[in-house]
Amino acid sequence: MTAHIGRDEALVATDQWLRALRQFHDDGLDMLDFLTGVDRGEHIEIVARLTSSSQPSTSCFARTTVPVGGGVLPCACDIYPGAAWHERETSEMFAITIASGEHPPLLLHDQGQRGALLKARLLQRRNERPWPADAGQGSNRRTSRPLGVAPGVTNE
Amino acid sequence: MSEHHHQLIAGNSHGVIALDPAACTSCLICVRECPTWCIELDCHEEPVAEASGRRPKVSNVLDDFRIDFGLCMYCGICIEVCPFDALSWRQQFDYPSDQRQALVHDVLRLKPPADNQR
Amino acid sequence: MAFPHIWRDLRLTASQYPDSMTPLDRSTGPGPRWAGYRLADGVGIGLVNLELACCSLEVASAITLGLLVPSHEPSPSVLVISGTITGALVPTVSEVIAALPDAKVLAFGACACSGGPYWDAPTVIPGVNQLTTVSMYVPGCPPRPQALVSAISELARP
Repeated sequence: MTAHIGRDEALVATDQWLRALRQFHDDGLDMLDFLTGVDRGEHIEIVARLTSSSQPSTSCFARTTVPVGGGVLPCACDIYPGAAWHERETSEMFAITIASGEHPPLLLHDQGQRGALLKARLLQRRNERPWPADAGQGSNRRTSRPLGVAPGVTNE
Repeated sequence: MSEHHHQLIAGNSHGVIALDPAACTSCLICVRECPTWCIELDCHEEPVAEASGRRPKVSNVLDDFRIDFGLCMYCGICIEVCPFDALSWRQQFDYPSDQRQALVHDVLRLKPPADNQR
Repeated sequence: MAFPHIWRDLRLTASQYPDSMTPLDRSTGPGPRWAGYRLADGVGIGLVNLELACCSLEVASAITLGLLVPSHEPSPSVLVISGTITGALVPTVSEVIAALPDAKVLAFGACACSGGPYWDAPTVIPGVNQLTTVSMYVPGCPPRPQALVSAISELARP
């Protein structure tokens, strides 16, 4: 993927991730606001919002993508030391490996919970509980399904 | 709750929810839209007699309506989506119980207040 | 405020908390006392509040409104659970419940009653009744502070 550098955003390949972050940092965006992931289905989008401590109204977004399952993201802690906790949370929530440094789980201490925010990971309790609207289905009802639940699909 | 304590609560606070069963058509929209799945509705179909002899029709009749206030997060989505304004806020904030199941209010308990009540 | 340190590092389990960081105040004598509250109306009911999430702000509101007064309680009669119980906090919550065997447990707010809006989360315990017997459930998200005071009076009624 080619790098796209706009005024407010950069979408880069993962091997350009640290270069893009360093460029934003050297341009004056010295604070990391957040770093997180978005499950786009065919890939996980990593997005970091960077801002300036001297001009807090300025901000830019740096984005890259990693594959779902087995994705590896370079560690940004040498550029933004505060990235550590964000990377730990992104790593455990989307089952992404951070390429270097210690990144133990931050919130999910049960290994089985790793990848909790992936869209493919359904909420077990919602699958187990019958959707209340199913009780009212009748001959004149259009059928509908609740969001985010696929009865009959399990996590195993 | 004492009257004095009740006076301390802002008038636009989200209190308990009331259901006017006469306005409810059992459309199930509130049940579908509730994010916590805390609304349950029992209904059955009854045939509707049509004097003009067109094709047979059924209508849905409400049997019971339950809101589990132990789960409810008082977002008000059910009140907003009801096309018939059957659901509304009440200025009631005090309904604790020693039984978990008693936090589920059925259609009798969800009756809207009389004119002289909150 | 009880347990302010919980939010500092979620990696610590209950066994790693130093003694000085629990609401059990061992520095005053005689005997251990709890940093708790009393109903302001002079009925004399002592309570301890386990502040887990946003519902605890309503308890703080009750103090601002003058409905509760801070007090050190040698044997509180009510343990209020205010907020969501996550799996990570189960050891801590269980430890506090076990340390107050004579206190009645009051579930304050939807999360303590049932898991509330987070009932579907694998990291959430759907209600403190999964851990112990609950003597009073106060619904609300959050409930009003006045509802807490009303429920405590109800609970302490002989």
